[in-house]
Amino acid sequence: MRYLKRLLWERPAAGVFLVLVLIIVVTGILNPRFFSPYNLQTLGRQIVIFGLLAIGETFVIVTGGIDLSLGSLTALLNILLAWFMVHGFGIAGGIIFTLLVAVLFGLWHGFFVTKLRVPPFVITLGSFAAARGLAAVITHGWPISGLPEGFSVLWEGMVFGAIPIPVVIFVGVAGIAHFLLGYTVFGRHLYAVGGDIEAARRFGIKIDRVRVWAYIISALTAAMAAFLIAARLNQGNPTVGKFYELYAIAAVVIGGASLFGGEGSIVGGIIGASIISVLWNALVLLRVSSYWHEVTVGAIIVVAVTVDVLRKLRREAS
Amino acid sequence: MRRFGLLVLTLGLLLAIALGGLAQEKVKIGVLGKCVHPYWDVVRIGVEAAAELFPDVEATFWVPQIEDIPAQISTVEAWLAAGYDALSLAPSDPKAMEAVIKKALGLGIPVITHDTDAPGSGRYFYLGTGNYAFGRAAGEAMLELLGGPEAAKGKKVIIITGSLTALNSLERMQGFRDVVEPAGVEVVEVLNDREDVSTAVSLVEAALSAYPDLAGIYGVYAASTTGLARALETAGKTEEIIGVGVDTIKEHLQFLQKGALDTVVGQRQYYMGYHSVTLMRIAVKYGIETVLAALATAGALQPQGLDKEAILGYLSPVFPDEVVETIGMLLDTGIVVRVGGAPDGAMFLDTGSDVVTRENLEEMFKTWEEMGLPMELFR
Repeated sequence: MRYLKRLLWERPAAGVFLVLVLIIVVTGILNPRFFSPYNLQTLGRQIVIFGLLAIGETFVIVTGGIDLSLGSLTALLNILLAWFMVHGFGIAGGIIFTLLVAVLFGLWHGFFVTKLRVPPFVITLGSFAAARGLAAVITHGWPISGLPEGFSVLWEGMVFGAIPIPVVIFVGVAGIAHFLLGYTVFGRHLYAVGGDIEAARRFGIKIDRVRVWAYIISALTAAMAAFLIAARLNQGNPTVGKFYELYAIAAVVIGGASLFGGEGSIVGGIIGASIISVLWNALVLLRVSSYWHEVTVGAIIVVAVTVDVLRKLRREAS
Repeated sequence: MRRFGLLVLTLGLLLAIALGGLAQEKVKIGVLGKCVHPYWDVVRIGVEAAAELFPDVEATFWVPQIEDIPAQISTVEAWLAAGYDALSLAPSDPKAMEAVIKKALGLGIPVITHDTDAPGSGRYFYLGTGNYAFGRAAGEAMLELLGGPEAAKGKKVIIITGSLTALNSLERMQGFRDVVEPAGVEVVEVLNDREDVSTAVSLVEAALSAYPDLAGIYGVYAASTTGLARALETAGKTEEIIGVGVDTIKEHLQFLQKGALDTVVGQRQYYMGYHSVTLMRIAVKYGIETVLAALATAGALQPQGLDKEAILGYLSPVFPDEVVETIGMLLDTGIVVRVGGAPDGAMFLDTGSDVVTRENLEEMFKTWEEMGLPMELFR
């Protein structure tokens, strides 16, 4: 018991992993169809979307920032990709140009946060509104259909006949992100900047460059989510991504990152994203009324943030 | 030199006012939509098509980027200041719009609502989709696709919508239920995608896992419809599960052709824009009372099964020619006048619905083309 308590306080990712397992086991017992191959595949793909955004958000939150633009960016970038592809840029061209736009958004956020000292909350909130607005301007709200033949394989395809391609892509991205954050100088600098920015500056860390990169990586994960969603719908659709930034932030916090910066892990973020995705799926499978879905997700976010605050208080006390 | 500049400025100003006065001879009609969306694009095309018919009309269509009540109100105020002669509004929040509607009416400017009503605001009538009847149309389509009232008994369907609180969503769901439930069809779940297609796909996929014996899905909004069709397509269940959705946009008609949807019920919002212009034009030229009287007469005659010529025969001795012609256009486009049909007893002009299936799709294409709708919306 004592061991468990210590585990939950000191290794938050391990704690939430237990919660995830608990949700899965309970849902599976109450409705065994949860473990049907079809459900696991759809669930896996769903985790990929939130998981990618959670990875991007982790990089920003670790530096003590926040990126509120991810859901709207996903909408804009999925529109841009579709637009590029139906205007003769091809699949590769579309992907490259859309990634470039994502990098520009990352630079834009990074520039305002570092050089102009604008709070991350404010500048990314600007993009939250502007990116969705741009998606509406480009499309007038129409979906962009007629994507190149075969593009939807990115979503529907399977590797070895059972593992969805998005899951494979996701595992690759997660691996790289985990390595970057956990085992490189860059990763250590990210944590240092988030932990104590003045100390990081005194140690000679190029704090501005580190933070700009965090926002670029974050925007790039939105681009990847956007590609997968475009393949999923086989169209560019400006309605997608509503509230996704909030789910991504929630996932990261549930996974044990601190909104105060300096703490968090890729694994934690992915577990958090899995909890949110599994919950949505489980609530339908358990036939819980839709009226309760958002209430449930909201309650879990509140619990996670409260635990984060309590952890901080506890640390300050000791 | 400075004085000279002032003179030029003054003259220029006078000229501008004079020109403005000349332009005043046109009937200026403001049509206000809710947000940037394909749906409102069609309304705009309807407004422009009607305005093109009449050289004496200058119609302006405006929507905010996203639903934005203050922006709607300030636009109406700007139109009032600019001397618009008549307004047709789709308020994002009917209560919030009430004051500015009353202000316009106080200035003697006729105001109607389209798409979304504002009962109790004093607007003269409401031009829009009867959402309850719209939901019933979807229910009837579902019932038929399930094999008729006998075969449908005990079959399970789910509803996926974008809002659990918006009135049009609730009315559409109620209309649907009131047709299918008495026949013994079980509505086992109502899902809420919050008008996000990607979320809609996830929810329908989860529902496919939860209900392996599912017989049908009804999508209440456009995003729900795209989402359910795409989920059925990727799950390979287009054959077993009936898909009924809304909005006859190109993407949905393609799903219809591929079998991922079996019926698409379309709003006819083109006519909300179109007839906002035709009706407000004669309201300005002949007085709103004349228009209301002509509409009431037509509305009283319609349920008696009279055809257009007969109804116009009653109208033409009493009303000016242009008014009779406009009522003729209204009847041509299949609009039903329900006297006292709005919640506050005002008149309700029901634009009706298009029920599109694989069987009548080609026919509908032809109809839309003949109606002069731009075909790139549908194909």
